[in-house]
Amino acid sequence: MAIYPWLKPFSRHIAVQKQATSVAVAEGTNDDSPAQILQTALAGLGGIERFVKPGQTVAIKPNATWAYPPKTASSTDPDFLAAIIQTVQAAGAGRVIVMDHCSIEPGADEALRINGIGQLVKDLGIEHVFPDRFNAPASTYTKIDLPHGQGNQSMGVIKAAAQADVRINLAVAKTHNVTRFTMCLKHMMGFLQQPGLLHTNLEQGIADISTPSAMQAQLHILEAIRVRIPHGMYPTCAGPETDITNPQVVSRRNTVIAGTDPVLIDAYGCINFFGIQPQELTHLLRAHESGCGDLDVEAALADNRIRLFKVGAPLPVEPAVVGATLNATQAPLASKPTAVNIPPSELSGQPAASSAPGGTSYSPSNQVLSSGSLLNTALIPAAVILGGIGLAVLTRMRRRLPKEPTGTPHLPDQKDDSQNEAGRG
Amino acid sequence: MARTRRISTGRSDRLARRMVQWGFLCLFILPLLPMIYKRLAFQTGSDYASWLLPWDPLLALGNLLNRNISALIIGAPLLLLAISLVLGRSFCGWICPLGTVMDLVQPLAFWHKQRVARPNHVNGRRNSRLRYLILVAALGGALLSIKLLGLVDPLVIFTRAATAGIANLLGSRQAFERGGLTYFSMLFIAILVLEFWQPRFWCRHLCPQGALLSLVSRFSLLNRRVSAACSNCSLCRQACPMDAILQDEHDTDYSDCTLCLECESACPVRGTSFGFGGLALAVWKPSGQPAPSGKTNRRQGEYIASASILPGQGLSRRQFLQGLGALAAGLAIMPITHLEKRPSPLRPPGALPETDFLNVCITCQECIRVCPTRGLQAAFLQTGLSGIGMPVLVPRLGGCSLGVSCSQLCEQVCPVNAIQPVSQQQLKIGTAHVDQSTCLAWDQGVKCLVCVEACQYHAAIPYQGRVTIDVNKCVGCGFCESGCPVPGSAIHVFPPDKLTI
Repeated sequence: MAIYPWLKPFSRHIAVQKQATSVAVAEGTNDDSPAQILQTALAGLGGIERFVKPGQTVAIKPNATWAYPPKTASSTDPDFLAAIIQTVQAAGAGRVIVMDHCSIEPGADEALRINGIGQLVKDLGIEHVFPDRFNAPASTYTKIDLPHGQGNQSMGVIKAAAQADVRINLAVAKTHNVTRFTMCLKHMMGFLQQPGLLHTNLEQGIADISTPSAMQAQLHILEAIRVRIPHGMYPTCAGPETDITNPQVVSRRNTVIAGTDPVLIDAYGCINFFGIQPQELTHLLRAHESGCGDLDVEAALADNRIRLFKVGAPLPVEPAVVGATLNATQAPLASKPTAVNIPPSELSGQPAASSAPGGTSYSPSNQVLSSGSLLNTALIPAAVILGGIGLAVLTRMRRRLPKEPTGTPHLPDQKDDSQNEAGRG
Repeated sequence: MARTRRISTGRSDRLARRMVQWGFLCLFILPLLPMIYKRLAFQTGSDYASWLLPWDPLLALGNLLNRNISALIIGAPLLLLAISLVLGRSFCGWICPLGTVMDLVQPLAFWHKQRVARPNHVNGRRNSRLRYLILVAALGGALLSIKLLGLVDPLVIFTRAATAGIANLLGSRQAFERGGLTYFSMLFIAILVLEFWQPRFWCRHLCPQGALLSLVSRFSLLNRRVSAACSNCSLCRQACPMDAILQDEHDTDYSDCTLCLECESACPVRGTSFGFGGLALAVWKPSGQPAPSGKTNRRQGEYIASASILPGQGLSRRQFLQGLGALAAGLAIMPITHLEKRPSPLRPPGALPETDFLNVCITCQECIRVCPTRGLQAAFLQTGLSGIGMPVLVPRLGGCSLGVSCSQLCEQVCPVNAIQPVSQQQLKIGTAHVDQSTCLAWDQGVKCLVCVEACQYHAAIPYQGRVTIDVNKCVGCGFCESGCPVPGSAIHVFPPDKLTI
């Protein structure tokens, strides 16, 4: 929960008094669908109605920037996104806009085609804004003030996000090559006009964009159904691996964390998914220092600001479990391969393993077409051409027609000529 | 009454020709439209190869002479030559998009009526033979390099100008994008300016494509026939935009006639008609006596087959030497090009070795049009005089996404195969190099590493907060350079032979 600086000393009291739960963690099993786990988390938080009032405009920001298939923990799972969209619509939202700045190669079209989100928004008929390098006119963005920003005082963001009443941040828990791990805080960069520019002062920048402003998200949801965990030489933000093909890279955790405090969500994720202390992540520390939220997971668990829920279990888990969770974090939980539960149809589109350097496991669609789709349009000029040729031929024929009955070709000429001369005379 | 009928016939003729010309113009511009759409609507999407260049007989001949067999397209150019054999240079009058644009510009030259009234033949001059010399130079030069051919081929000029016009009109982001493109659209504009000097000036005097077609079209099967009703009023000669009507109004130079039908509608006695007949090798032989029909000066006569206008027979010693000179000039283009010391640029993926690329690229700039990241740009003077207009990769504007999101569009559209198909594994455009004095990570210890995130090849490696480049993995795609937050970029891609660390 974001707190105004002068309220900072009292923040815990306010949090406890105003909202009993600021973060709800829902854990399921491999049998539970993403939608079920999501609903459990939202119910634990007090329902989506707490955030979305009827008629409001809701901006949902999934991770749509990576061109890797679903279930690789690279981008948001389309099923998961569909679940949140339908939930928000059921709560009576006036407009739902899905948006993400696709700043990573190969750009929005290709990324959306491969990660399945493009098809999803098309199927659901949802408004969407997916700017990338080319498809975004300047009017896509607007500049907002960050009154509490310490490194940045203003920021260009997607206009639809700044104008929305409610912003829902739909992050994926995974490793990152610059900030080590990326969860809710880092994911907010997808609202920005130029995410690359934030890199000049990345940690403070990430903290700044989560301070209270026109782009602050009201609800953060961390998707940890599949988590990309550190493996190999250096961490990757995305890749073709799945929890089936490379369980040492992608771990199946079946967890969804929803909440209003991104720092607390990220801190919980650090401990439980990646086995590090939240203070080790500089951007988390900076965000905490900027007053974006609380880092102390243990205290939050103690006073029920973080509550754990099991999918299917009606009652919340008692805080007594907390200690065990924290102790277990020193050794990361073993990944849970789920070969049994995933139907083969879901695997068909996935690559067998990580491929050569460059790692493209899909066929580029961006090809010079064989002009086939232009041929229909080409019929119009072709018809004009044929019409012109026909007109020329018809003109010739009409000029010859009077000649035929006379038999001799010179007669009509002479007649015409005499008329012509008469006209001149 | 006769007068009104004559005018109406002329109108329908002209309308027919305009319809065909507009139709073909739209047809040839159609594959370029996605570029307009993408720039106006800020969209990405498919591109199409040109529909014009595959029909180019001059280019096909150039590819043949340059032993560029893999790029050789035979069918369509042969079909065009066959059409020229049957229908004369109707390509120039009815199809050629450059000619269409000239005809569109022509009415603006309102003072031309007086100028046309004194055609060249009256002064005893003929259309310039310069276009044949240009043809010889272009085709002779093609033995070594088809650079000159690409410069003077009207279809390439039109393709280039259309791309340049689109790119310049629809807001290019960087001045770089305008340089080479604008330079080449100058040639197009010059042709249009010459149109104000004389109708179809380019076609009459300079066009090598027309010269090539007229080698065939002088045997044209579709002929202009003037009946004995001709009164020698020379109105047809004044109407002819190509100055193709010879001293005697009955005779036509089929190497010039574009079958525009202007003479037919201009004829006051309706004595001119077009039809199939072996008149291409015939001349009008007057029988001597004027016809006994009043005031008009009519002459009886007939067309008689003649061998005197067969090609080659009229070739004088002087013309032969001129041809040899043109051949030598064409052949000299390549050695002169290589005298120049040029900085080595980043070429498109799979481009031929630099010396070959300079000889083969005809600067049609199709690759620049279709590049999905707009990283390919037309060089202006950055790569020297001989590299003007040729594609260079400017990583700051956009990297090469071959294999990532692009299936090498530049190779697919290249009409001369100056860009060879290359797989992602074989790709090597250059090598990135980090400028440690400006890099945020090296210079200021900032954890930036945008280049690491952008790298598709895992060649930018973060080590203790700094970034280093694995030279073996780096292919020089340039995404690191396009993403770098430092003004002017702190990471640069250098050509393979230029990298010195």
